[in-house]
Amino acid sequence: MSLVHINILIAFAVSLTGLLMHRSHLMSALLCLEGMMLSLFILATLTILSTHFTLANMMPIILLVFAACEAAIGLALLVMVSNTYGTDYVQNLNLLQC
Amino acid sequence: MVMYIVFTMSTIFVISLVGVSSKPSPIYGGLGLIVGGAMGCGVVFSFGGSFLGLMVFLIYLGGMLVVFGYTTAMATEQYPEVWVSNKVVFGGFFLGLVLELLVVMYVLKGGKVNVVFEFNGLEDWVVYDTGDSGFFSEEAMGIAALYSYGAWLIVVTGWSLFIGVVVIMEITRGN
Repeated sequence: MSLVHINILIAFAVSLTGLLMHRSHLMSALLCLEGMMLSLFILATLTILSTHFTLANMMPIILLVFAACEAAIGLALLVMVSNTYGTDYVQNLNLLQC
Repeated sequence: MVMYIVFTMSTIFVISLVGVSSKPSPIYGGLGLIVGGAMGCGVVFSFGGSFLGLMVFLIYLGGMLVVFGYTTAMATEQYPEVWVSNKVVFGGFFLGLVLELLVVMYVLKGGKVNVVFEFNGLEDWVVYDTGDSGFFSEEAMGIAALYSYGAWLIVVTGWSLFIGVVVIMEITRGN
């Protein structure tokens, strides 16, 4: 494994930590999710290119397609939250609070 | 230092993702993702994957991040927070920066890291060769196999994209 793989794994872990700790905006969580997808794409591409696994070169493209689907649905949900409450602050999502 | 250009690009990738994950205002998070995407594309280029690197630029940056930028412009605040304007954001960014600098110093002192696998620095610029690959790029041939061996993958992803559009139209219907 190359030294670059260490950095890409650290990038994935950092984005995961950022996704799990909310601040004010819901949009920031979606951006951290996109960061995770990007680091997964880079990691998969580097591993597949290093091991010369030719047929698996299509896997990062499929990953990107499903990440695009997921990002679009996340953005649609954010737009509806923003239409209801005016902003996309996470503290507005409190319907289940007792 | 040019020998470590790929490692430097991956370090800038980590720092830009730390900048996204320390959560300034979302428009600056998008800026961090753009820089990270460019650096990731450079890393993929140096491993010989030219098609997949250009896909990052075209599909990821040019498609997905543009949509994120428009949505952020729709739901943004009057005074967006940059990394240095808020102590919490700057503290998170500084912590990630210190972590990455520690890792870089450990790697550059040793030369190889033995965490779970053995990460050695030779594979940055010496790639294992499995023999004759002919005149074709292996990566391009593997992606072209998406239409022959991966025909069912194309059907499934196309159908799920269509269902995604229908789901989005249903979510944003309102009333």
